[in-house]
Amino acid sequence: MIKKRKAQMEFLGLVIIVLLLSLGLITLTVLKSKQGSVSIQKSYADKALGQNTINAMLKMRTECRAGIPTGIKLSELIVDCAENPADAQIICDNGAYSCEYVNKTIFNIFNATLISWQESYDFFIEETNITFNTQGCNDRSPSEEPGKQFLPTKIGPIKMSLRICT
Amino acid sequence: MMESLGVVFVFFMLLSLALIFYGAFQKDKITELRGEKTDLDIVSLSQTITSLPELKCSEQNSIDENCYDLLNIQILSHYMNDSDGFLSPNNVRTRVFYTQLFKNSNITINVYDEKNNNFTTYPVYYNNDDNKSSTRNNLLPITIKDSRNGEFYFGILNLAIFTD
Repeated sequence: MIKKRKAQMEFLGLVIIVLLLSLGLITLTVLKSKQGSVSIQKSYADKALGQNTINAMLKMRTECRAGIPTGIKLSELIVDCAENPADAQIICDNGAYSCEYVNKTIFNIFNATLISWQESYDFFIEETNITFNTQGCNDRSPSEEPGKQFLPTKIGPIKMSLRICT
Repeated sequence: MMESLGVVFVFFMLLSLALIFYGAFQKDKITELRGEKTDLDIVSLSQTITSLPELKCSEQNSIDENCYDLLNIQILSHYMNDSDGFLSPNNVRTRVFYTQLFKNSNITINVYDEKNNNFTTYPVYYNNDDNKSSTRNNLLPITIKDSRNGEFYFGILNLAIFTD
């Protein structure tokens, strides 16, 4: 009788071991599935996206002609906007002031690119009121290194930054 | 007898559990590795096309990084889609060259037209010989230069790799 009970206890021990092992394996699986990894391509694309967008935008020539035959570069409009936020020197043919024009152009570009690709981003230009961001993306959000560029102005270099949140 | 059977049962249960989990982990790992390979392919394609001399802007032999010449894009786009050019049976060597370079992919360049707030698309390359169903995309903003008047435009380099 005692021998039989001892055997039952051993069996119970085995059952406990099986349960513990299963619990361990399930925990491991759940943890592994929750472990989100950023893909190589996403990381590469995000890094390039921020910097390339800023570089390409700054070089582009706009339709703001302000009485001259060729359009003014977006970087020149940004500089004017930062130097004279209340009293812009550049007024485009359509009557828009530099800050207004920059704001509209950047918004249109983001709308056609980052927003339509459903990328979460945070963009700002220092010394201007130009900031765009999608909800939840800020300087504390996880992201790759943001794209940055400095523009020389009369009031000192101004920084523009574009962070793509992961 | 019953005890031995119980032990054997538990042993096989443990073994099958271990096998199931091992199989699941291996499957995840294989999927991850395949994804990584596609990722590396698309990064490699991005780097190939960003350093392609056929498309780059240059001034007095100095190459401008991340800048593409609009005229070069138009010419390459026309050549790649012309039955007397890239698609001609007489141009097998050129076709093999570009096919080895770009593999199974679809490459287009979109030039932003600020006036109309839309993009003009230039198809550069398309090859899906294996009839693969899904694609993996990489979109890269670029600068496009019109060398006729020296003006710069905002553009998008759209790369898509065909995958299973």
